[in-house]
Amino acid sequence: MGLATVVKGSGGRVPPLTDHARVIIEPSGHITVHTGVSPHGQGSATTFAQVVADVLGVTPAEVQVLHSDTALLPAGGGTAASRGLVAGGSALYVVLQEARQKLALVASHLLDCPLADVCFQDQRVFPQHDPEHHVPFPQLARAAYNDAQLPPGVEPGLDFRGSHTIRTSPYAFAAHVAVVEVSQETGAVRVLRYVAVHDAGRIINPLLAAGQVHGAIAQGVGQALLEGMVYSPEGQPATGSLLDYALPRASTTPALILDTVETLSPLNPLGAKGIGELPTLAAPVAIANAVMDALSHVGVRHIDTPLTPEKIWHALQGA
Amino acid sequence: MVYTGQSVKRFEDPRLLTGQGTFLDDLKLPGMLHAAILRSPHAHAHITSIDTAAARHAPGVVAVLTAEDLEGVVESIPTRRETEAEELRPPVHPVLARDKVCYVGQPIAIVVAQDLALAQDARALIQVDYAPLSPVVDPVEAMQADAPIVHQELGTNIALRTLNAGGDVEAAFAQATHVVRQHYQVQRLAPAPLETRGIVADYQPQDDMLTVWDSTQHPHAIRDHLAQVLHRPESRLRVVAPDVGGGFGEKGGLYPEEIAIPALAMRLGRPVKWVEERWANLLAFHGRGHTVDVEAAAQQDGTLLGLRVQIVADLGAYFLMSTPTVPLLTSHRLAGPYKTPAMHVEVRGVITNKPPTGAYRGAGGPEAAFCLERTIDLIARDLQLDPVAVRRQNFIPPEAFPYETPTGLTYDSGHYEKTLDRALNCRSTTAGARTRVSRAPPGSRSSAWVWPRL
Repeated sequence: MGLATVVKGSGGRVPPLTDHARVIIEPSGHITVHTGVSPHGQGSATTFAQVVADVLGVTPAEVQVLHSDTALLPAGGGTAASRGLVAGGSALYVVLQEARQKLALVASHLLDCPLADVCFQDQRVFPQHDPEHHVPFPQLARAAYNDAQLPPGVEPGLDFRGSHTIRTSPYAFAAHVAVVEVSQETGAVRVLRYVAVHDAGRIINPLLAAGQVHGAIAQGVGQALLEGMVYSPEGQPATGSLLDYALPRASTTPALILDTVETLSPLNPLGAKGIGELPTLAAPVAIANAVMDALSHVGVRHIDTPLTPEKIWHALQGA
Repeated sequence: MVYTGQSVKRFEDPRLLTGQGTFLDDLKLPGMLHAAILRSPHAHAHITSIDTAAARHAPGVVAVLTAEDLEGVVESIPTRRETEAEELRPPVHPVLARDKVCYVGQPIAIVVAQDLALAQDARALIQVDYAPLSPVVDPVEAMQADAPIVHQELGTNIALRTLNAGGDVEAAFAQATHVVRQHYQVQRLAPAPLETRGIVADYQPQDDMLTVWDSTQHPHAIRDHLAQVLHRPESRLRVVAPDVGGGFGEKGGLYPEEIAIPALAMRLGRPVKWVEERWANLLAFHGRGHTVDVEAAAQQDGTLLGLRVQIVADLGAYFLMSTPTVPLLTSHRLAGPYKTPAMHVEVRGVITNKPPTGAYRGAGGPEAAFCLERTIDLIARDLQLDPVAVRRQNFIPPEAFPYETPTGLTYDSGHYEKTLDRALNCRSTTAGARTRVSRAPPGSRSSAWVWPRL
């Protein structure tokens, strides 16, 4: 059995973490978000739509998230280093507050209620103490484009943009436990059980957070047991094809038992911490620690990864 | 909050699962040409001649590009100026090799033809004569006085050097009742995304507009870098990342092809597509590649007093964007979740005749965590302590945040014991351990790890 406890910051190297967002609410009430992050499998279009939905009281399905085109936004930080939600989500949240503020101004005028009493919920706006007296969100959006329905001094239109900078990086924590079996005959390692608990602050979408964890642990198994670029003394690659370079596969990925703890980050308005890479720190060494634990009886102190059957078999023969 | 915390299914999936995704190789523009790249078969060699005549006259070939054609047209490949490094010597990184090749896979020439098969056939007709040189493959050997020097202009293979230290390490080792020493090698890994790298570039002369579709994680950064290396204003450049089939850090920099293919599209006035072959992907960029020596000073009860660490990073032959960054990050991230009061981490980044390295899945985090977490287990083993107890003993407590590590990181918040307890308390965790012990098949060896009492 092996254990690893690790921390990982969100964002590349040295903070600050800056990103950009634009929120356009059309007269129909449909919402388009442009983000400076560039998701490629993380599912940010879904999580960001959830953030929008909760700030503006709409459903995520009404929100379209566009990204990865320099014609859309003047700047963007892209997606890497566990920064997507922390940097991109925070910028979006900050711009959404401006959108909400203007919508609330328009709504207080339409509903004839104090600004502070305006509630956004279930695709409607209403005064806090009088939910029956509501206006549907699309009607509010249309009013915001109609000069005649606006309070004095408010310009028509619902187009908001801005950036947000986080001065220092939020740090997420994980504890992984691996249970492995090592064959004395062949040196082969089988991961029998794998438990991983992550504290990455507020989790917007548990399904997608788990997806990030699955992928990272799969690659961690690769580092621990399978992968490695091998070069000859002449500098020729011996692992230049996928026949020779052993990628992790579904069959090498253990069933995972996952859980989360939420210690919010005080550094960003979502309380979020990046989760994408966190398991890549823990998985290789949790497995390596488990294998060394299994071999400790025969006096093996350390073997470097990848822990191939060949290396382990040799260690067992020497013992 | 209604939707925060809900497992909403991905809105991205219906399109992708029904085959409606548009990945780089799905892009087709009218009149589009296809590029194939000739790469070095040698790790280290002088190029004595390049003869492209036969390739130029091959069927369907529109152009053959070598380093000469890019002279004065594009800048060399940019890298990050890491200001925290005490010494930083980035070698000049040409888009195409001219006089010398420094790793197997380095781009030398590009053939552009009517279709990909014709481009690949013509590629085989390019004649390059090489005078092989002695390669340096092992980074530790590369630092020795008699090792061949990869980039003569640097005068050394050590291209990066820094010290990251805090607290009184000498005092820590003087006080220690036990010292653990261990040598670790964290191997080079190929990111191997499902979709390899790729570019389509299209230049519209009537608008003086260059559009680049790039399988990248950072379209804005690519636009900013291309503006510099191609000498164009940002407003005359648009970079779009279509659906991207995995990045893992590999698609985070600016590679030779990302400069050469747009330059070709401008020169030819026609769209050009290049998609990286799988073998080329495995030889273009790697992560990790750290050789690390750790000395840990501990008390009898497992309390960590100090860490002395030497990192030798195998940087590869050239610097891409994040090449110098990763070993610096490793030095910071060696602090881990522990309140180790004193740390002294020396970093040397070494040039070798292998592909450039850089950020891959955690970028310095997994390198650091591997060495630190193995060392914690060795401390527990030597002192006959429970590995869980040693971790608890050294955790930064919740009330200590914000916490500054001796390596210069500031942690914002955390409840490490609570999270660890959750992992250990999980019924399935314990069940797993017992299952293993009781059902271990004949011939497999079980360990006597004592499950901690919580």
